[in-house]
Amino acid sequence: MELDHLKNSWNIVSADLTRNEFDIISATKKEMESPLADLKTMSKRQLITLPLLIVFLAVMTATVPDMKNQLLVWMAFIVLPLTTIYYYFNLKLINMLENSEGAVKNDFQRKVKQLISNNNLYLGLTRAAILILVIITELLIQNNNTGLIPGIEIIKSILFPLRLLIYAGTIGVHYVLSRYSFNLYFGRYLKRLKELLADMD
Amino acid sequence: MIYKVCRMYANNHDDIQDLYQDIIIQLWKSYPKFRGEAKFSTWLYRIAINTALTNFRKQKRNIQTSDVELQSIQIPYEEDVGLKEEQHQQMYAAIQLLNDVEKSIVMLYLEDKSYDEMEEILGISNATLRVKMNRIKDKLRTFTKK
Repeated sequence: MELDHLKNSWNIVSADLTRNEFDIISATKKEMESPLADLKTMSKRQLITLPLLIVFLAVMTATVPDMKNQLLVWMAFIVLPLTTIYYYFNLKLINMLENSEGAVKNDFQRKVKQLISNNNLYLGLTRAAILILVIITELLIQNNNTGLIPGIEIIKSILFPLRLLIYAGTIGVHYVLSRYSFNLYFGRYLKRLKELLADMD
Repeated sequence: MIYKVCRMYANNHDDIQDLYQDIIIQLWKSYPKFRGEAKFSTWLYRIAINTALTNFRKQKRNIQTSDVELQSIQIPYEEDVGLKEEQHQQMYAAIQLLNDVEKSIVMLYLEDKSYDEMEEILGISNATLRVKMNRIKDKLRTFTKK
């Protein structure tokens, strides 16, 4: 039995299948279960929750006097907007990945390239932000301008070599977390695209 | 045509319906971007195959049904079923053993698409497609002989 002999049967069987009824209206009302659907839902949820958290924190800081002197609160004011921006770009990326354009292989190549470049951009920007934060903190400590940022006194009290270790640790933890979150969110999808591209070559 | 793609990538009625729905929605979403640079059927195949290949629900179910597929090659011959029909069933079962990219090539081949059209849809070069097609035919021969 050769593949060519199957052509007639293929057309007959497929024609039989069209007898199945399909309700296009109900189908379009239902959200497509794409490979990134869960991630999309999570990103949307975070984009609602995080700004609410920022507002809540701002109100608390304005009303509770002690909170202004907490280093963690000020750190949250840096981290939370950055995380919100991260999820916003994630959502944009997912929307882009859900659209197909051009020949199948070219589309997969474009998506892999986009995923990798987006991740590199995010890593580069956040690493730069951490480095700037470390340099500013250290400059303030060296110039004894500790009054500018509340709670910086605590960091100053730590020995310089230990501080360096903490900075290195922060950068290390950020690297590990970034890799983990990228693999968690997009890893499976990227792996699948790479596998398909390998099969196409 | 969409049903043919679904049939190639899904194993049971529910999976076919799910994949059909996903492809329809994807076509619906992508239609505003259709600029008419390629033929409408080429665009349709591109979207349908793209969706089927990246559909994870189908992948999960394939793992569960792979044993059934293997067994389906050994369906005992029944007198009321013609020999030809049994051979067709064997061939369909053998196609299910191919990887997803190979399935898309087989589907387009069964649809009587030329290698140029396949290249336009899949983005795989004409020469690579020919080599792949020969390998697929060899594979199918081996599968159906087992």
